[in-house]
Amino acid sequence: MRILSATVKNYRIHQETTVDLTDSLNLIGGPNESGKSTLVEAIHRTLFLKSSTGGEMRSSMLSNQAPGHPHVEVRFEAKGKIWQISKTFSGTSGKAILQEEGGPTLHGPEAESRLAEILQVEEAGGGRGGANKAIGQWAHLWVWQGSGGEDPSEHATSQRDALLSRLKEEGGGAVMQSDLDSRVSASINERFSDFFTASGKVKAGSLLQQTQEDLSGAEEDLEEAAEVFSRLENARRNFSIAEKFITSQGLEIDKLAASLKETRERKDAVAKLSLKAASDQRAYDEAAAAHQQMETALADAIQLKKDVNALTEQLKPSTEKISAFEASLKESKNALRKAEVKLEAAENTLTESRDRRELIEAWVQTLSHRDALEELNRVQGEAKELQKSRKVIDEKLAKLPPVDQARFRNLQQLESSLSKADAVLKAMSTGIEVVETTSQVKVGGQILTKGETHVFDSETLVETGDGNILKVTPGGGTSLDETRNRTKELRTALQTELNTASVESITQAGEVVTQRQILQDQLRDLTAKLDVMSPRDIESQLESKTRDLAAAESEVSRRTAKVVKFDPPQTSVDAKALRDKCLIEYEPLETQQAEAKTDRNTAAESTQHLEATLTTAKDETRLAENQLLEAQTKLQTKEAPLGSAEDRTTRLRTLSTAKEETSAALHTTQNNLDQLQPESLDADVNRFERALEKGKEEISNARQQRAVASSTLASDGNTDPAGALETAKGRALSAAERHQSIKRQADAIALLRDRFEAEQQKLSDKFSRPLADKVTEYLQQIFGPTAAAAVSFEEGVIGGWTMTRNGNTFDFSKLSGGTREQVAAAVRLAMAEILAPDHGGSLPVVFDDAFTNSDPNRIQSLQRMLDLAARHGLQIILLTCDPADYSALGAHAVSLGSQ
Amino acid sequence: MNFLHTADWQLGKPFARITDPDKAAKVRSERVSAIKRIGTVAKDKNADFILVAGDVFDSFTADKSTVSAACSAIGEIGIPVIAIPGNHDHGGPGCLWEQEFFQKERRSLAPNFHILLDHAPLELDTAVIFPCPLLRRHESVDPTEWLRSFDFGSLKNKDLPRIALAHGSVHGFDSEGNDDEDNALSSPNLIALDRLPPDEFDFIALGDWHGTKKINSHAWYAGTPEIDRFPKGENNDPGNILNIELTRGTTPTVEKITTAHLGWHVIEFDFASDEDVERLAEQLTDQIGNRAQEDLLQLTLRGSLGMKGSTRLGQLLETWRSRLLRLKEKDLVRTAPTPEEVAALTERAGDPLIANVATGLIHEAEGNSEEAEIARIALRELYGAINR
Repeated sequence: MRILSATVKNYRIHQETTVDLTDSLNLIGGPNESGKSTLVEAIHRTLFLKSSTGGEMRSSMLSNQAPGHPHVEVRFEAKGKIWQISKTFSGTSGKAILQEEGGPTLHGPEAESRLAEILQVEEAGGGRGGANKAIGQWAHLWVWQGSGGEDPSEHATSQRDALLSRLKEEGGGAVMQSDLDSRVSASINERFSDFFTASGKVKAGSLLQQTQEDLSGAEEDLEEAAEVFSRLENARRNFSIAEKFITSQGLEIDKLAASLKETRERKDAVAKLSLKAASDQRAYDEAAAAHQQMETALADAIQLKKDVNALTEQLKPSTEKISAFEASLKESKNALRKAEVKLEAAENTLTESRDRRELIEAWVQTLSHRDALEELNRVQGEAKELQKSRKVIDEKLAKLPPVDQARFRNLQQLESSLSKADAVLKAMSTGIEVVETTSQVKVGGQILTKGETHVFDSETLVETGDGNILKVTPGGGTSLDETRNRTKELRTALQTELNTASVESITQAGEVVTQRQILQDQLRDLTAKLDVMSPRDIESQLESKTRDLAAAESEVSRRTAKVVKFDPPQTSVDAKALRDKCLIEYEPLETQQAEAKTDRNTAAESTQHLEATLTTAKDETRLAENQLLEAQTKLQTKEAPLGSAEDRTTRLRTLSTAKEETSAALHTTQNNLDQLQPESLDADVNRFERALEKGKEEISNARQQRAVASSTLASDGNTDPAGALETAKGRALSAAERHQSIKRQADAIALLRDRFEAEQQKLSDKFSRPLADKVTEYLQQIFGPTAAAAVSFEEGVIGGWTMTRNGNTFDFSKLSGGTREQVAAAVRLAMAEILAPDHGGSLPVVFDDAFTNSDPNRIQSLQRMLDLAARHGLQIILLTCDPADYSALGAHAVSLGSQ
Repeated sequence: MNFLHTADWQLGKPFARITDPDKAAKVRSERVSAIKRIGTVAKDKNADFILVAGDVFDSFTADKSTVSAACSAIGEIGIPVIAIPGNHDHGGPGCLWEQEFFQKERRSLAPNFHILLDHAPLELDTAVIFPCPLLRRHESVDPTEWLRSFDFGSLKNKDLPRIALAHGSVHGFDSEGNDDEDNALSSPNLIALDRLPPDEFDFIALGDWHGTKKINSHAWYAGTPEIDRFPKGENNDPGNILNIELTRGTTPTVEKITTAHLGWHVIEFDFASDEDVERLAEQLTDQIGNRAQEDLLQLTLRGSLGMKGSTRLGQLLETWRSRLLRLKEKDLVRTAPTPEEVAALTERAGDPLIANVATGLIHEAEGNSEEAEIARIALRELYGAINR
């Protein structure tokens, strides 16, 4: 079907507008409000809206500029023929005329019906419903202003049947499930939902779940019943084991008890044997002791006899030795006596000599003291003379004026200072000499005569007598006065000092000083001498010496008494000589005395030694005698009870026999004892007792176990574990069978559902792929070879458009506004192309400002797509207010001017 | 004198594989009813006593209600009922025979009931009973061993017929191996009949084998009086008791009397085509008739069925499942669409989904794997969904 031309009268903005269209590309241009959209609206309504339509729909068509009913004529080609439909929208009186070129002309409802048939749409009914339906016709081919970016799915779905039918024709096979397919599929889905949830899980409350639960329940019951039953079986087994044990252990215990009894009896036997062994031991000990005693007594007697003989032999030489010792002692004593006499004589001589020597020494002292005393007295006289001389000099010194060296130097200084001051004064003073005068010359009030000179040192008035008074001022100014004053002071000081020293002149003072020096020197000498003598020491020395002398003299008189014949020496020298001589005599005497003493000591020691030796010898002899006596006594005591030698032999033999017999008895008893193994008996008793105890305990335990098992086994008839186990087994088997059966059924349903879904998907692909391929062909015109479209077809709904470009896939809704317009256009063109063969190979596709969001570049490339559609036989009617954008389209251009 | 020989009452057997509790209870209670029927026979035959050769109870810990029901039924019989414990209700510590409740109930309800737990002869006025009780599930020694060395001279009356009462397997006769009906208490206790002193026993009353079986002219298994499992093998003949006429030193006269009430059926069926389902329906009706809640059936199915046949079989079994006390189904049938069904499923140009899914499943349904089994079920489901 193609629209060839249209004439629009009294239709809103159009008073009368006619446009001719070509069968391929048409571009209707014109500014806003130029009536482009109104034009295509008028064509659409003429094709689909009943001419008798009234109400608002009609009102909206009325022209506000021209009176008269809206009238539209459309020429079109369809079914290989040319048609013209004319409609006057005058409300209920609306007219419709359909003219077939070279054919009949139809009017009114006939025309409307035929038109719907030609356009292959359901005829619109009357009223508002019909009008609304009419407006929606061919929506897949008609892009109304502002709807360019709408999702084309709805339009595609509305054309589904036509599309499927077309595809079926092309593909040769069914592309749509039948009603039966749908019914069966739905029924299977329903059955599926009985068993499963949408996500394929077993549905709660479903038969499948129920049988599954029944099975688990039955299995649990079975497990429980089996456990109860196995408890029972265990108890039965335990009972049997315990009973067997009790029986066998009872026998063991009897054996043990017998063993214990036997061991205890052995123990008693051991106790008895032990007592016998002890008594046997005692008997043997006694016999052995008696035998031993006898043997010992015999041996002792023999030994004692030997001892007596030996002692007797020992005693003989001792007596001879004692006599010899006594003779030696006598000799020794004589020698000692002689030595003592000699010693006494030597000691006397020595004593005499010592007394004499000490007397002489006393004399030496006495005489020495006398000499010292004499010297002291002489020195004392000399000192007394010196003290007298010193007294004289002291008196002389006292008489001299008190001028000493210092004072004398002071006087000399004063005098020197004064003479220097006088010299200065004299140098400064002025002298006036009266050489010749006629008058009285007075100087300083003092009359000066001829030749007289006056010297002055202060301002002095000179009266020459002629009335002339001259004032003479000596040189030096004020220092003259100072010098004069100093001179005066010095003089006064000198005089004062002389007065103090009680001298008249310095010369005298010098003399006094010299005298005083001489006297003082003399005095110093004397004093030095006296200091040497130290008269006070002399005094004390005198006293001490006197005492010493007295003592020495007393010593002399005391010693003199001891010495028989002595001539006292007269001098100290004599005394000393005598002393030296005495010393020389004394020494040999001392030696003699010492030698005599040594001799005597030697003799004494010798004597003492001999005495001791003699005493020892005597003691030894006495001891030996005592020992002998003792041994003889012992021997007698020992031998007395032994009797005769024959007696002795008989007795010894008897004792030996007794010993042997008791030993044999003891040995036998001990052997018997050993054979009873007494050392292990106690352990055995313990062991048997322990084992018995343990065995009894085990029996008691076993009895307890038997009782426990018995109580588990004891059934009161309230339950039947064996029966319950059978029941549970049967139920578990039944439940398993039932579950398997239901499970298979459910699995079969699930299998069917999966298969149906898969087949549906295949069908869907069969339909959607060629449609998508067609869309892709158009899209590639704009977006290049990587672009591809896809569409889903589920349960009769076409939708879910996606575009893939450069490997990225986008849902339609996620595309940009411009791209949406282009994709939607591609879908419309593809659908139109598929549907076109039903309409004589062509269909018009109207784009009313359909690409308002597309940028200029895309506008350029989408012209290629539109061109392809035209080449594929579609009639493209493009409305735009900017025709220049589509200058490259090469379309038939129609321009609507602004009214 | 004459007496009834029975065994293996298995009172209280739970029949746990019967999932409907009411049906299980019915099967259980039928075993008590069997005692009453035995009582009736005893009266008819004027029996001196009844010997039960073990397994009066199914469990050695039988519960109170089972004990009460048993004692009540035994008490009603009136004449002495003499039993030994078998491997199921063996004696020993904690066994139900020692249970205070049992003893109380026995005293008050069944004073005629004697359970023999010792290896000692019971000398009655009319016969001497030699009990060989099992005191544990599995005795390591032959329970009849004590009889080999018994001093028969010690018996008071040596002219009375002598009856040995034992429970276990004799040579050449194993216990009936385990299946899902059997329980863990099954255990072989071997009895060497040939080692018993010859000519000393006039009759050996055996229990354990649930079918009635003659071992020799003096030794019989009475079998269970009420069937408790699907019989195996051709010669298995359960559901009877024996009436024995006996005198010392002669061959006993043995009469078999059927006491079973519930039907235990075993059917094996092979499908060649879908039409065979109707054949099976006829066979079931022939064998079981119009009875309900009286029968148990072990049904083994083989061969293969198409979708339609399989669906029909399902409906048929559903019906019988409710009529029967138990349908033990062993389904070895290969369900595979017939060529027509295959075509109907796959040759559907207008229904591309169904056709493609069916094609895939038909391919996968071949083989014996679990996956193949599921694919077959899926096909049945699909078939059902299309033809609904």
